[in-house]
Amino acid sequence: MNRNKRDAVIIILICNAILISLLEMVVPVPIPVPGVKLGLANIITILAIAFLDLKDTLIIVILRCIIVALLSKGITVLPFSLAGGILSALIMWLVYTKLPHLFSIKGISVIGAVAHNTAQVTMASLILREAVMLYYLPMLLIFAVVTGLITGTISQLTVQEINKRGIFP
Amino acid sequence: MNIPMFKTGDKILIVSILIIAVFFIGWRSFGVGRDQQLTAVITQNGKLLKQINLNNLQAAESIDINQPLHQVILAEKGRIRFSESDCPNKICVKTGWLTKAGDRAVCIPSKVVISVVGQNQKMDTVSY
Repeated sequence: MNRNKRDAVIIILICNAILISLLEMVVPVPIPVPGVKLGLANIITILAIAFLDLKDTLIIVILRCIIVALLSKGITVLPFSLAGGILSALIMWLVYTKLPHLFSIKGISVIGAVAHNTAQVTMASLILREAVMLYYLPMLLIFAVVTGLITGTISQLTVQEINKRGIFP
Repeated sequence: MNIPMFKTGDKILIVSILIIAVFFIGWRSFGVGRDQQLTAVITQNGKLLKQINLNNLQAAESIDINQPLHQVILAEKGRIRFSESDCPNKICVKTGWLTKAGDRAVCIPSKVVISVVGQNQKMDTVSY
């Protein structure tokens, strides 16, 4: 992939990630546990990991977090989304490149969702200076498996389709 | 549209996460007894703001917090909640009533935490 095409792909993915994140906030989640969401932007992170390198993936994740925070809930949520986004991207990249024989994209997505929740809860505990938030973790882990499977399945189908059409040589 | 099967690692991963999570939730609710003295502990920034014995409460009591944003905490006999908050997501208000030992409501923007502790349970929140 030449440089111009790569830049264009990065920009398209960032824009899509922002749009998906914002749309997701409009859709209510029928689950009475605070902090649970589908995490559809995870799909974009997985596409970036599958077709670009680590640096481009991190650029996409960081820019998406900053812009979404500015456009929606304000700068206070930025440490949370950055911690979750960066940690899950790093771990998913590691698993995708080092252990592809063990995990499919669905498994990688679940790992990403779990890493995301763990990072956010740890961040909340650090900010509150109390381990209180770790109390939510088991509940969040169960939802991470469910949401990870949903976004993972979508990602896997998307990656297959992109490969089939030969969009990225 | 064919959805590919799970690989071995996927299955092991999903099952083990679910087992761990269910184990911790079960362990936590198992350790909580009934009919005990309930005390609500309100902290901000890790520092104690107020401690209320929920069993002895006769009339409803409301606690106003004005720093860094306006919040109202409402305590009644046996239960306590955030009733108003100026924070953006209102997750603390949506958490609703806290009625048993181990229940917690947290407001991240104001760093206020309400935790309900039982008599035979020390404030060892760290163990979670």
